[in-house]
Amino acid sequence: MNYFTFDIKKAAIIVALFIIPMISLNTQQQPTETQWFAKPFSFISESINLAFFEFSSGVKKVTSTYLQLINITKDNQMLKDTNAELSARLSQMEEIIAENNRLNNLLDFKQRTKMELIAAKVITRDISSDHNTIRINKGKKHGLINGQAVITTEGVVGYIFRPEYLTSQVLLLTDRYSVVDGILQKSRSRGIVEGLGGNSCHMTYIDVPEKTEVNDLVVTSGLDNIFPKGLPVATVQQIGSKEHGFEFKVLLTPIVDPNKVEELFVITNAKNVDLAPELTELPNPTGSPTTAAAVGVDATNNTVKTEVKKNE
Amino acid sequence: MNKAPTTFNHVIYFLLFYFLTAFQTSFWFQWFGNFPAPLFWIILMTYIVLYRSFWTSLLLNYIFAVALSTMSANSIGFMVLNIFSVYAILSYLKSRVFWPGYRYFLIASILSLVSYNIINLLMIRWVDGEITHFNILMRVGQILISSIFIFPLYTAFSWIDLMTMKDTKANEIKGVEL
Repeated sequence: MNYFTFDIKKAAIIVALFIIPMISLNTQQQPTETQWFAKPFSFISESINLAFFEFSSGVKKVTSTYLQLINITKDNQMLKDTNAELSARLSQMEEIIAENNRLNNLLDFKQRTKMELIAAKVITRDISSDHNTIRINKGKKHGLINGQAVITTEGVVGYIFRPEYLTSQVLLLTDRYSVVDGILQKSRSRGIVEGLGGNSCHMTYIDVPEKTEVNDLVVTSGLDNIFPKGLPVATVQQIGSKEHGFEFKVLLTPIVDPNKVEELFVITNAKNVDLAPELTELPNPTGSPTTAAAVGVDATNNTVKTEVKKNE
Repeated sequence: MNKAPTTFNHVIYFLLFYFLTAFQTSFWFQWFGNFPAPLFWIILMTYIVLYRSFWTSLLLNYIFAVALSTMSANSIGFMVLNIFSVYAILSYLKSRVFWPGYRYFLIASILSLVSYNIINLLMIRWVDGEITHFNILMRVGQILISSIFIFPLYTAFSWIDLMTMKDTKANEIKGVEL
């Protein structure tokens, strides 16, 4: 048997097949737009994923009812049968009520906020276990573009990094490619929140690390042109060594568990809203803390007006 | 000796690939949450490598890698290099040791599952310059759960080949055909 009978022409083709991905391999820049030759595959993938999501949702509803009713027996257990049927419907109703409450919260949040939001559902997760991304059922067709923030009523989820026609891929806060500009609420120190994979992230390049405290809340700074200012991001879980200046890192726990998100919002227009003016503490030359409170919106430049008063 | 697979056979496997990946990314997490999802598409790839000619399997795996990159944050280059590395390992195994049947396919599938995870970790370290979560429990869980489905999938793939083409399974050790 000849194991390696080389034909130069065939060998050149094989080398070319290896070189093409090497050329496209660029770890410094994340691909935000699907290459033209991959677009058909992407369209097929998102269509099948959407169909799968709808199918499995329907099967889930039917199966849960069926599994509840499967033990019903006839004749001499009619009351128990009726009771079991009502219990099944009740549990189904409870699930519907829970979903209704969840959606009401989302709707209430959407109506209260000044931001323009698009509601979306999570339909798939990343196929690789080393990345934390999700795919939502809204895409370019619905007006989504790359870099738009994705949130829930509780806080930051991530941002869109690869929108397609029908769906969009969202880079979660915990993904190792994710970078969000944040502020520690108590110390007002700025830093960069980076995902670590899994369910955690950390904050680096903190400008005033000495004031960092455990359980301090990290909110968005609004300076990365992705998230409006004041959105909860994570809480401080563990503080690293404070001896090394720029290497100082703080371990964070995300406010929103990305594995449990089902419905979310995409911010299409933040309208320069500051979401936490009542939590802002400005340093006072006299030393006593002050609080800035929102008193209205300046219609001329669409900013939130605040008044500063001294805390007693 | 054996007929080449028909175009219909290629289309079937192409759609089957999307079906299996959609099952992992969309269906599984809705029913089982964070429980490790089986990597059906690797088992399909293993079958393609073992029971197709060199050029057919190379081209199909290339297409699969491009398609996989649309379902992940990984770039096309990353996925292609990753998949081709697994392909090279399986091709080497096939060139050294081969016998038709389920047991050989089981060994090759487990080898591809393990090597995929190892190569993925190494590529993240060398290409991305980062150290990702090792998460041994999740990776071992994925391999074990995927292993449960190897026999049913092998049966299904064999049946598809039986229906859509004549028997083309290799029955002797073959070298790399260039």
